[in-house]
Amino acid sequence: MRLYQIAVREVGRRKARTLYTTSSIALSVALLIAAMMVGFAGQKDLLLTIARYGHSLTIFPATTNETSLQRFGIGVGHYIPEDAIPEIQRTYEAAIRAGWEKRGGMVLDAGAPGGVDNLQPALFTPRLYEETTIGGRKVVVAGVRAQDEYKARFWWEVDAGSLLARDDEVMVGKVFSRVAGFKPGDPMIINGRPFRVCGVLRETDSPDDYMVFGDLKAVQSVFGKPNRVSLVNVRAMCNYCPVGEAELAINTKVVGVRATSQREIAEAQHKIFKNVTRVIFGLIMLCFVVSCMAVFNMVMGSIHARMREAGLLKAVGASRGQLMRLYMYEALVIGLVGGAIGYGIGCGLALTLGPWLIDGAPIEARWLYLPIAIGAATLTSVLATIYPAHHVAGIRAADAFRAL
Amino acid sequence: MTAIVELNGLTKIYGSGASAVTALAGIDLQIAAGQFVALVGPSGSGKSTMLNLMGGIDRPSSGSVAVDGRRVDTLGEQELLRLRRETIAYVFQEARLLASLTALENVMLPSAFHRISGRGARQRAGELLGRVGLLARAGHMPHQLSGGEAQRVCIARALFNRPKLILADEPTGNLDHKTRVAIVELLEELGRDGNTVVMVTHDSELADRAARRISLHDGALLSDEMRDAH
Repeated sequence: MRLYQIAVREVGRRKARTLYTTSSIALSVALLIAAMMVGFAGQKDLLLTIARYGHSLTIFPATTNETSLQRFGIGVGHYIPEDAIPEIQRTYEAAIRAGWEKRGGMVLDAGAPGGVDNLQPALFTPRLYEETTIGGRKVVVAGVRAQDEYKARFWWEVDAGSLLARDDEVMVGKVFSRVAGFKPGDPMIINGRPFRVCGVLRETDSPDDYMVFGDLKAVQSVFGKPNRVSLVNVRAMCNYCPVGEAELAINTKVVGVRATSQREIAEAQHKIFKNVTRVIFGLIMLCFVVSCMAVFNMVMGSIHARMREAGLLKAVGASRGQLMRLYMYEALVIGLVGGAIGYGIGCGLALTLGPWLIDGAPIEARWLYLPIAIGAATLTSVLATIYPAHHVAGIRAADAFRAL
Repeated sequence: MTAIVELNGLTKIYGSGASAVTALAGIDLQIAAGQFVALVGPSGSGKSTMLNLMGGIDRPSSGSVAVDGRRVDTLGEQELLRLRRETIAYVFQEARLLASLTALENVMLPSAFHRISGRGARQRAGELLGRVGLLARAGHMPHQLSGGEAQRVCIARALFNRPKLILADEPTGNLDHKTRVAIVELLEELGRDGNTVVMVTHDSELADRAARRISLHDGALLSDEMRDAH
């Protein structure tokens, strides 16, 4: 007979006590796992946002008001001359090089230290926004340089049809397609000029879902705005590019425009998210402490019965160390069971409540969290049991036998 | 005959000063191997104290206790543990079985602490249960056993490590008369088989079944009689 076999039997026999202790631990583990799953999904969502917008500046006409900015820069009626883009580009690139040199870094290829001369140039994607009515519905038409736009917006995919390729074609956002009923092949009249819908974009959870996209020159022509753009998105092609330096340079050196870094907005959100997550995890740690105390109280409550049991076991030859091991095995069993149950409940909580808490975030059950759950539960159970086990195992034989 | 137990000037005093109580006063005694001994006397006469000192559970105030040639009163904790594993076994007043183990598993419980192989332990436990007449109850849980049956399982467990000395403290205390007799008969049989059994009892009738009857009174030896076992 082995000690762990006795431990498993003893745990199985004390059903009520086992249920109480494992429930207490399972609850804390469930909260931990749910928080980790939801937190991971939320962070992934934020990082995706940062990846999408992070390494970028958006350059607006200096006259654009705050309201437009809050609508992700979809300002109509204010313009940047298209031929100002090369100057903006030069200012940007000079600022980026200066920024790297100031940091002491040399860039070999994107995202890695090396030679400054090897910096991959940023991607400039101007857009012209104009408001119009199509099919009886008000909509924003965006003129874009299609090939550059596909590089910058790497998450763009078509649900139906094909990507924009010709100047007599338009591509529609998913929501607009659904609401207005446009599908690939349909004709569309924009300000009296005929276009053909070539494709419907997959939903992106961004204002792009509500727009119609056409070739920049074509849209400039249709709306009588030659050589004008509403904004220029600049996407840095290297991680950790000193985009802030470029923002400052453009704002101080280029007249008539204002640059804003999206990364800082997203990173600020990320920071808030991280702080909130820390608070939540702090509270969960508190839950574990409470669980630990509950288990401790439960074990101490049965100390008298355990003393008699210790007396019996000492009478048949158990050493102090063997008694300790026996009680630790019991704690391990409770930890394993509590951890597994807690993992299951935590996954259920996260999958049920997660999408409600963080809209659209991809909540996934991760098997990696199971050993974390079991580890946390076992640690709690073992910590709670150490003192009572030590107390009982250390009982003098005379006192133990007297308890019998 | 070789003495398995030797008590020399054994004294145990509880407390000190005015409140000191002399549980045993200078007992000199030898118990030969293979004897079935009954320790009798009224409550407070020192019977259980003597048993505890023999088993190394407690230490004397003065004098010495030797079991199987070793001074028990001077052994350290580890050596006492070895003594309990290899030489001395206990049977208590109330049958103490682990409620989560079957009768067979309770008998082989010492193997968990003494590193005996699973198969060998099961075989030995089965033999011992058969010896106490409970092989058919091997798979039963303690709550399914009567008081007498549980006590017999305890006796079987006590024999597991082939002890040289079995100490039984009121082993029939909570049992009905018929069961008490059956238990004592079992202990008697163990004595006939060469095991040394020292049984504390306050029941004269049961004590009469032992080969030797030692009477205590107020911590002192009152009488020491050899008698024929029935």
